Amino acid sequence: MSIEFKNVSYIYSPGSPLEQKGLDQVSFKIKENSFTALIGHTGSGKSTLMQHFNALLKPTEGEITIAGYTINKDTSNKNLKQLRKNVSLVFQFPESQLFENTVLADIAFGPKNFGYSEDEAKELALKWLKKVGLDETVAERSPFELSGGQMRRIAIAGVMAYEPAILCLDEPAAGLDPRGRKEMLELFKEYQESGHTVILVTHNMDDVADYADDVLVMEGGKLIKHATPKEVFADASWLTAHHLGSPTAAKFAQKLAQKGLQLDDEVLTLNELTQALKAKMKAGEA
Amino acid sequence: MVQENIVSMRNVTFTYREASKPAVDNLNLDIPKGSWVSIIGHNGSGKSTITRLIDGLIASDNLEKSKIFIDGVELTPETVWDLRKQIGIVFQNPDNQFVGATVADDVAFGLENRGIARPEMVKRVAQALKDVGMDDYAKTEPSNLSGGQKQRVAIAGILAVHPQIIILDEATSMLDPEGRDEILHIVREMQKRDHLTVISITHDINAVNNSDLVAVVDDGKLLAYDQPDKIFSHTKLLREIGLDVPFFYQVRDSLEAAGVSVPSSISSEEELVNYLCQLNSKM
Repeated sequence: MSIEFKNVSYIYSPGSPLEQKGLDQVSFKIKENSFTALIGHTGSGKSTLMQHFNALLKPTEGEITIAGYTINKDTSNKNLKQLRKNVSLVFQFPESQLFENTVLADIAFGPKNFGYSEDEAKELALKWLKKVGLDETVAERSPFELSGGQMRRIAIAGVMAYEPAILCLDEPAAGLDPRGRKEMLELFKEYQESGHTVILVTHNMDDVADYADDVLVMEGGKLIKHATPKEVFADASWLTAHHLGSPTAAKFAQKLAQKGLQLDDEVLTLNELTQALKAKMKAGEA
Repeated sequence: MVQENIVSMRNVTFTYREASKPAVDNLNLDIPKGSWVSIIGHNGSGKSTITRLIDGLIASDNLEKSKIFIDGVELTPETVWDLRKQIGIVFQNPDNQFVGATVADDVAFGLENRGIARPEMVKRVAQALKDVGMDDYAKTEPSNLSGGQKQRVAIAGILAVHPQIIILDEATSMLDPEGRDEILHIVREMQKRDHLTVISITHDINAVNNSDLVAVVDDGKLLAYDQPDKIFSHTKLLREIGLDVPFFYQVRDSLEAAGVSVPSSISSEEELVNYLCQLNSKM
């Protein structure tokens, strides 16, 4: 399922003294089955944009086509259930929304809500409990007895359990330890590769370089760039001008370049950096 | 005594209710006054529990065997209220720490709690907001601030009560890179000016690398406690317990694995950059 925004604007509190533009003439198309990173500063419009994906917010102007729905300012709030089953949003600190008595019941809530039977929901819950890296032994425990990192995984499992076609996550790995972070991102990548669309809101440029194939850059409610990670990170002065960082490997390559060692290719990841350095050293030996 | 410790933990063990094993297990830890100490470890390793013990929010299993000293005074049910005034904690989620309707009210909250007289309070709030560069926002509603600004206000609220210890519990993990650098810069400036001790729980490897000391915690035990370069030389150990090492160590190891050998004496990014450039220019 692709996502298309056509000239979408959103105004908060229109007509009041607090009127503020959240989105300003945003147009783009995200291909089905892509891994898209959504980056930009706090207040750039990322969250506003994200809330349009399943019509939590509806455009003040313009139109969105997503999962078979067309959403504009006249779209009624009725009959959106199928859209919300297909397009799921995971907000920051999703663990604050856990509420059930047991871990399994919490994960099964989403599937049950979207029409799966009690048994099917339980089966899906067990499957995703394991997929997010938790042990079956926690299934019958209260989610509130577990560590923050475990609670985060449970909350994410609860959304992935009904297997939405489009999954959009806002900083899902913030505060997780490095291994936990990697495991979660690998899980989202695997989810994409098994035929879903993933949208990741993040400040971490290494995650953009390592996992995304498509990047949306927001600033002041406008989409200021839509390109591949290679294209976005190619222009260091553009990044600096917009207060955006580079992946760590790219910064390292810049330091090498400043001291006179220019690599032949643009590098964004540790692996690319290693290969480019190796090529340089091998070429020297020959 | 060569060095004064602001925090000393002796044989401290703490077990959460219904947990099968202790979250903090016979821990001994000394934190020198005026230092910046990072505590690293995977989620659930006991890092936050240690800071909660230091703040007296929870008490160790056995108060006879376990001792915690803050600035030389033993932490007991009698002293905890006074000692806690020496400690301020900044948490991960800025939205969970606001109580005031305006930024200035929020910063004043801790002072009101301590019964500080109003003229002094007004003075301290103004100074603290200035220290964190938020003096233009005194009358702003906290909900209209960005994440980084909220964390700066949270820090102002702590500076206003003149503590000796600031604990950063993942305080920068929700911020964008600029916001993160700003917060670390502000805390470092205040640390120098007011001789504060900073205890930082973080997964941000660059912040860890800039600490005076690093404590590695695993399963509630202190695995290692040393200067950053000494800690990071144990790349294998850190990887085993699921932690990162600074990027230049990753580059070094990755090059080794790809057949480009790098001298093990290299212990900073600058040295590695220089070495690679020299290697290249010789060819």
